[in-house]
Amino acid sequence: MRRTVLCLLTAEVSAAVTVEVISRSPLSLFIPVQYLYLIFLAPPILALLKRNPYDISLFTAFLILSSFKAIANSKIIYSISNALYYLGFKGISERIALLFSAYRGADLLEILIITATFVIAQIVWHSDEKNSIRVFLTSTTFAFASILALLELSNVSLSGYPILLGIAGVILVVLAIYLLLS
Amino acid sequence: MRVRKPALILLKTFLILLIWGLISTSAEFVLASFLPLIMLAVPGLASVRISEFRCVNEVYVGEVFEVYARVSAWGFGFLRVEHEVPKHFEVVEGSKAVSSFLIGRGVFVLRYRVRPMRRGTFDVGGFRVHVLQPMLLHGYERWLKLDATVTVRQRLIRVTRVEEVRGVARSPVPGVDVSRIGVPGTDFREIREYVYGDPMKFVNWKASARVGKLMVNQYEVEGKKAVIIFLDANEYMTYGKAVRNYLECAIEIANSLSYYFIARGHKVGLYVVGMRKFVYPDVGKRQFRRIGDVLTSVEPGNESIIEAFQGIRKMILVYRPLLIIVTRPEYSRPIRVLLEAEKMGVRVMVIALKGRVEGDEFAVRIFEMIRRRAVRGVRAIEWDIERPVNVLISKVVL
Repeated sequence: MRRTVLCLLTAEVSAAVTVEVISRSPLSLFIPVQYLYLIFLAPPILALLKRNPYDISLFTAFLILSSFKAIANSKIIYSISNALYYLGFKGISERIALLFSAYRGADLLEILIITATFVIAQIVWHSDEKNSIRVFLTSTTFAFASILALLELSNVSLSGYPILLGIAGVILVVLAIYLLLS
Repeated sequence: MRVRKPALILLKTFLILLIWGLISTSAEFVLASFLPLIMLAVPGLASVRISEFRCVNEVYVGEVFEVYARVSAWGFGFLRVEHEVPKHFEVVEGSKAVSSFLIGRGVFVLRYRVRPMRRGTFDVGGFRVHVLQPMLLHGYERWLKLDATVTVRQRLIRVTRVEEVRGVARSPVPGVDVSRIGVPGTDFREIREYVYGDPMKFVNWKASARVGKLMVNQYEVEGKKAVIIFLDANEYMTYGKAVRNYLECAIEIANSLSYYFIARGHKVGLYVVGMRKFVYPDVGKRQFRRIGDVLTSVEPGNESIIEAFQGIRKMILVYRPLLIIVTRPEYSRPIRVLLEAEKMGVRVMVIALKGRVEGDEFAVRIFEMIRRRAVRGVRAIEWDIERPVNVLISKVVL
């Protein structure tokens, strides 16, 4: 039971991040935002079916949905647009370039959060019931530290959240150490 | 190295993100793919040693004893230390395993009580150590070996006989019968013809002169009649539960009978049919110990009773002992042994073991008919292996 609740929690966090990413992606032009809230129903349905609330299929779905924002930064879209332009499809080429260039920008944090929550959910789901909270805390702490390291590595500016991240990090580390030693 | 399922899922996640990142030329996905790898790279290491171990060396079947182990460890990760208990040992109190999350140094105590259910010499020095990394993704297992064994001896049923009454015996069990061979005493028995090997001091010169042949005095030898126990340890004796089957019951009977006869000064020998192991008849506590050691190490084998009898025929002729055969007559067919023994003038007692037969009613009835036919020709005491052995021993000796 404990495991299911923890996995459900991570899945819902991931769903919230995905909805937020989609609302900022070109996909939001085609799908109204209110329909995106249906994503939140997927994890509880999986839990009711006695399956892992955050399994690999749900993760893949979240990843595909959020990749519409990520590929706006990718060179492949613009190379397709250039190729179409060269082949004479000027109109389509311009529309594609216009559509994606409007959504350009760094979104590494969101993808990292979706990946981290999936990783945590898998670890917790495969741990035994007794140790699930301990494993959840340990994996969350490690995931948190890894996200910070990767963000640092990619030179993404964290100017918006340094205090929040610092407080969250300290709380996590203290909680993890307390639980591991108790 | 033990890799658990979530580790494989994490590896799969890494590949999905990396491939998608490369196809879509997205640096974000490529960077995100490293996250599962970082989680997998977190190590789990522990150095473990058993700093103290206490356990008895010798115990009887069914007797409860305590095992104590102190485990010192240091490292990082989930640690589980499990004492490998032989499969015939039953844990009655406490736990034989301890698990904990380890950060730095830790000392754990394993204390539990076990009951051995089968005789034998068992290795109790094995400890299985599992170390898992903090997120239980992967780990390793290793063994710690100590030099520790426990010898579990078969149960000993002691029978106190009330009194010895001289008269016509109902059973061939020797009471005051004397031995055929041994150290000659001072009680005169008879004068007989000299045979090669007789000491010259026993030559009766007057009788020799009178008869014209060399005659010697024969004295009663010291010691009581010998008893040889034939313990059937063929494969068919192992039918039943591992802790209580025909063989275990037969071993208990053999042990108790050898104790009974040795305590009363008889020479007792043992032949394990199947193992071709013979303990020569002798007296005293050391002999009981010798028989006990052999009984502790009995393992099922393959040999017929008549083959075993022929193997020690000469010994039987010398001692003229009472033969006690503990067997399942429906399989061992000891009738030929009885006939041979009768020719040699040796008394035989067969303890025919019987147990619960599982199966459908018709098959059980057929088996019972075959069994009854097999037992009919044998002078046997039938015994149900589920019944307590002390009742049988009183029945045998009284």
